Amino acid sequence: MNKQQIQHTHWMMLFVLMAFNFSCFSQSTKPAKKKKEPRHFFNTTGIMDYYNKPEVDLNLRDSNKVSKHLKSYGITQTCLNFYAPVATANWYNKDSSVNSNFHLLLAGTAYYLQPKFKGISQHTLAKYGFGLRMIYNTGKRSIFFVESTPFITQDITKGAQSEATYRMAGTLLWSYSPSKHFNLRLGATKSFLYGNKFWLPFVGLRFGQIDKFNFSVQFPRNASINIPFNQVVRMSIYTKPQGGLFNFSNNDTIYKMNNDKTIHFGRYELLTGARLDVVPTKWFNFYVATGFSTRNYIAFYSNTHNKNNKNALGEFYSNNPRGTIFLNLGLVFRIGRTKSYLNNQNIYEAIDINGTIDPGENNVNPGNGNIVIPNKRKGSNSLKPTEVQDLIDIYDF
Amino acid sequence: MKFSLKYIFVILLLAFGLPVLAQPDKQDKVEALKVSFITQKVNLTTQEAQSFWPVYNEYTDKIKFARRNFRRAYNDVPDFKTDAEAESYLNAELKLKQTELDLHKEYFEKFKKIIGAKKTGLLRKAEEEFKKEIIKTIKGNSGD
Repeated sequence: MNKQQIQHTHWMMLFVLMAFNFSCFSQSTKPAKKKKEPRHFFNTTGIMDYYNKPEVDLNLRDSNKVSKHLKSYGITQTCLNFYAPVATANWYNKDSSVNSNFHLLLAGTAYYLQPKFKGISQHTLAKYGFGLRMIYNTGKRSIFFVESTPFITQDITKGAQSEATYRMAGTLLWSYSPSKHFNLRLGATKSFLYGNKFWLPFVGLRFGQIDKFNFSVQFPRNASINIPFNQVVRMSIYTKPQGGLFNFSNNDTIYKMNNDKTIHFGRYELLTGARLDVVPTKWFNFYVATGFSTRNYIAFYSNTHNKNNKNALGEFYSNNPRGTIFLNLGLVFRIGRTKSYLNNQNIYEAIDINGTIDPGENNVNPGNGNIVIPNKRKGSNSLKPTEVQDLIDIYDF
Repeated sequence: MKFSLKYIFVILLLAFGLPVLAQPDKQDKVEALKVSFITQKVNLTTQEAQSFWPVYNEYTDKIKFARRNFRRAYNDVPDFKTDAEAESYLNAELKLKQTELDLHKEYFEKFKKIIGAKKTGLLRKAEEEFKKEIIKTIKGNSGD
């Protein structure tokens, strides 16, 4: 991203923050108006994620001309994701013993990747996606999840813009919880996460309650050990892939044949580290993660050669840069009131699936900040009557 | 300089915005405490819990919203200028109590179908005990 674009993004973030803050302040000054009961179980959620890893010299053992041309490789990426509930249908069976619901959500992403190659000019690769996701909770043990996020990728470097390419990613998933201590997920996903186009099976297993200590493997998304310390601080030790397939302007003549103005850049890495989530309120949380980036893979694909290729693209260059450390920061904002779902394990599961599969395949997870961690204490020491006025009456004193 | 000023502005916005955002959260934490308290007192099986909590959340949501709407309408009224205003307030309070009673009736039946009469009775007792705990805490805070 050039300076102007960075500044533009910052002002955009500032505007969102201001609008968000002012709308919160304005709530108390509005005249008394009858409030409507919330219709959805999901909050409208915005996620800002920043990721950085330092540059390393490219592996020159193969004496490849492209490696010599590129010289080094590093990454900075910024990602803005959102999802918003559009429609929720909630119903019970005759004796109210089964509560099933259907959720339709809009999801979107704006993602900017800056691969840093010392030997060529700075590129900013963008990905914009907008899609729909549907979640059906049977109210018993199963949840069905369908998501489709069409997106475009384009090199938006000033003065060297590439063509835009339309791509489609999607996931189909069945989640099954025989008890709250175990969950199984099976499905399929069309993914670009591994730096190329793949159809992959989705296999997920979780041992342990979602709001307590648990171990979770969600192939191909992540594997994690989640440790909630208390209601505010949660930690996870995780490993997850990160990558994608992006359009890349050939203004530096990385590819010398066919006069291709646009080529494709694929990248993949495996992140292993620790993430700390701080949840001061259910409306906002932030996270800091750090660890090691290993199994790095980068590749360039020719546009002309892959024009009629319906499967994984064939590369004209690939490299495995050595591992580095990484830094990942994120802010998560949740707007709007929701229906209560305390201890509702099926809704917890639906929230977790929705967070695990992010729009745009960036593998950015907002965390489960809206799932309340059970409180072990018997009572709270500093309560004001206004904080519990929905629970007690004047005649109770 | 411009850059750092912008970041200070963002931090200030967050610093002032967060406490406002954090306000309703204490209520949620109390709700979470109540859920833990009830779970402990009413021994629900996994199957019962799965069916019970969505219905219980709906029941508490409805009571909460009835009470909140009443407070929104009448909490900021410092005094009644006319008898009609006072009359309207009293009628609204009676209407609220009737709504609560209707909800109790409707949902106690639902609870009985899901967890049985005995556990529904235990639930009500647990709710009352939790209320007492809260009142004790509040009285402790006010120095009584």
